[in-house]
Amino acid sequence: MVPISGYRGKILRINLTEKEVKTEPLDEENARKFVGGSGLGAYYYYKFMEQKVVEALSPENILIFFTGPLTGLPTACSGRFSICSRSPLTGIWGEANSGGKFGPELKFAGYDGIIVEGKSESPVYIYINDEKIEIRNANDYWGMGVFESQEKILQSLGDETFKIACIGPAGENLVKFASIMNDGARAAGRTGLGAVMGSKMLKAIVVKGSNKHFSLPEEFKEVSQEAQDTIMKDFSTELSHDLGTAGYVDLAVDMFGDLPIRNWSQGTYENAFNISGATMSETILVGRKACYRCPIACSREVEIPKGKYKLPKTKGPEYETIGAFGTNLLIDNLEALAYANYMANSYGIDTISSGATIGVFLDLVSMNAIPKEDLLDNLDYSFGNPETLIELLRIISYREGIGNLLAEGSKKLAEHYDQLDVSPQIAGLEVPYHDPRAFSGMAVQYLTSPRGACHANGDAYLVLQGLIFPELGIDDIPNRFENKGIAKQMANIQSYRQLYNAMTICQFYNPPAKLVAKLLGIAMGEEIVLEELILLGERIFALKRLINLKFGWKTEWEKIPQVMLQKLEGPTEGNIPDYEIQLKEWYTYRNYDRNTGEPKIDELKRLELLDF
Amino acid sequence: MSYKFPSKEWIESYKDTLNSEKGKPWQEAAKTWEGDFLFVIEPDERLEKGHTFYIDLWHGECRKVDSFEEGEKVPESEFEYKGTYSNWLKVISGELDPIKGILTRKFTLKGSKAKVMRATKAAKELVNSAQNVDTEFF
Repeated sequence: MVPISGYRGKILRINLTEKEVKTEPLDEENARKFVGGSGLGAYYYYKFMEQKVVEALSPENILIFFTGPLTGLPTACSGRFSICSRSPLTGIWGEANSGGKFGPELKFAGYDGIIVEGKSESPVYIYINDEKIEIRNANDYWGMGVFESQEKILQSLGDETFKIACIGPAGENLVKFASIMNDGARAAGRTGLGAVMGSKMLKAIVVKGSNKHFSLPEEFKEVSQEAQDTIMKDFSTELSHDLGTAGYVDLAVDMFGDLPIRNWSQGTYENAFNISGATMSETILVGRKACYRCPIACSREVEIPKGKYKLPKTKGPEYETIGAFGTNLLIDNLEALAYANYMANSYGIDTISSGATIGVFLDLVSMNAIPKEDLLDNLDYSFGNPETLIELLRIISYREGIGNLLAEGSKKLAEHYDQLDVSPQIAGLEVPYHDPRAFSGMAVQYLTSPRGACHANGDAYLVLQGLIFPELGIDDIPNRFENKGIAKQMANIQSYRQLYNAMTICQFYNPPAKLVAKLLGIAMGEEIVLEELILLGERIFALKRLINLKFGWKTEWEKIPQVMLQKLEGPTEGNIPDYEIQLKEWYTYRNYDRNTGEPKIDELKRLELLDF
Repeated sequence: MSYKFPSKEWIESYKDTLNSEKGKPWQEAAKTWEGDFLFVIEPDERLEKGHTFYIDLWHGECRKVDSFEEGEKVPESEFEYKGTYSNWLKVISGELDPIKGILTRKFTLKGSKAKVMRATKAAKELVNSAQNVDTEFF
């Protein structure tokens, strides 16, 4: 069978228990329905769940790596791929996606995705070089940090053109928010899938492919160029290129109050200036780095040649990390943040969740909620101390002392001390650093997101700043504090981002939707009209909801924690989102049952999901 | 007394406003700002010919302004903020946030992003101050 143009038409199924590698045809019928990335990953996971529902760290669980039809194609920002499974942190649907070059390389090797089954008895890595696929011994690399592992494995192959995804000590030690790191410091950070990889004793996957050719018409090149030309004139593109994602820090703090401060309990922070992308560009920045075919190059390269936080040339902290380790913990030393970011990447730990968990921990200490005997003697537990952050990251990653409890995430930590309301989490996932008090619509995004609180499944904070797609029903909402009448925009941006995570292209790349439809249509081998973009996203969103219901997700979990509902002075102007109104309208718009959370039968029929 | 926007009289009145008691919020927010702007007003169905204002801002003071008809030579400046007349009206009336104006592609901004990002409060107050000028629109 001739593969559809953007797909390779094959996936790998690798069983680590049986040491068995199989190639199977891509389910093309369902590729058309669920596109790829975390959409098609969800489909394959759902099929797996029809046989059994297993715990995240069970040997029986599966870990899915999936590209999308646009991954690796000669079009801008096509370097992303998704990783999916049950999350050990939340117990519900887990997905994370990452950039770099690993995803495209998997396509060049001839595969749309990999499904990893079973558990090895000893550490292994998977070697993929076109058709040559092996499960290899990784004893020598187990225990190594991410950067050292990548370097040593690639050295042993004698070929540094292999692309690699791996875990660090956090994944090996089953830290519930361990990440999977690829191509240096690119992170599939959220929902703890590094622990799933660690539970399988799978240290890494290396891949090299020789076939970069895709059968594409000339029109694909023309539309790609038109899309790229459009986006390169955009202010947000220029900002991301010039200052990285951290370029938004000043705006977030000064204009909107979007960046949470001191575990979400403070409204202003003058020192944010010291840790912004603008400051980074004038101090430790030594270069920029781009993912596969990315003209934006938002990734920062930093270097600190001497001093306490001496660093080799490495990836600099992004906006979320500046929030997690900086404003959230009141640390205004950019070199210290860059160092902590480097260590977190080396341990293979999600900076969003680790920063939030540490913030909760320090808050609990400040409230005298933690008995002294639980604490290490030699640490200063006040906010604002970089040494504390750096040491806590270490003991979390190695599960030492109190780090063992912190490694379970902020919800478990706060519950342990009977202070759940101090934890900024929804459905068990730590909330990323966009405050619903700054942009009310983020409340409904977080509450209904398939993986718990997430900004990548619906970036309403950008819609509310003016990143709109009127042609998709995502039109302007003049008041950022609005709660009523925003369900259409909120649901549609969610659906559109579901599609982005399925195609898979970067969410910083936002050409007019009609061009996205054209590119996707060519990549999927069929015409996609504008209206179908949202429909495809709605279908994927609904499937993930069905998966979560099987996992035991409940509508009672749709609550914003008290720590995020305090009135603050500053740019949020005392706004508190009315999430009950938002939810009510959202459920009506989505045509889901408000009590059970299930899509209604006629909605399932509309989405062609009645068989699910 | 009201002033037509855009006109030399309007920008002179704007300068006076910025340097007056009414301009205090901007003066406070812009006390470290150093840099000059061109405000470019593009013609549309409501304005026949384009117009450009030059405005020199220094440590919370508006030092100099100037006004240029379409076709006149304008000075070099560190920043340029450009949009159509209709969108300028929205900004001046407070209907459109100046930063949101850029993100929604209604305005373009040329100049150092780093410098502007550090001065978002000042930018907002700069525009808010325009609401204190008694303005007559075409």
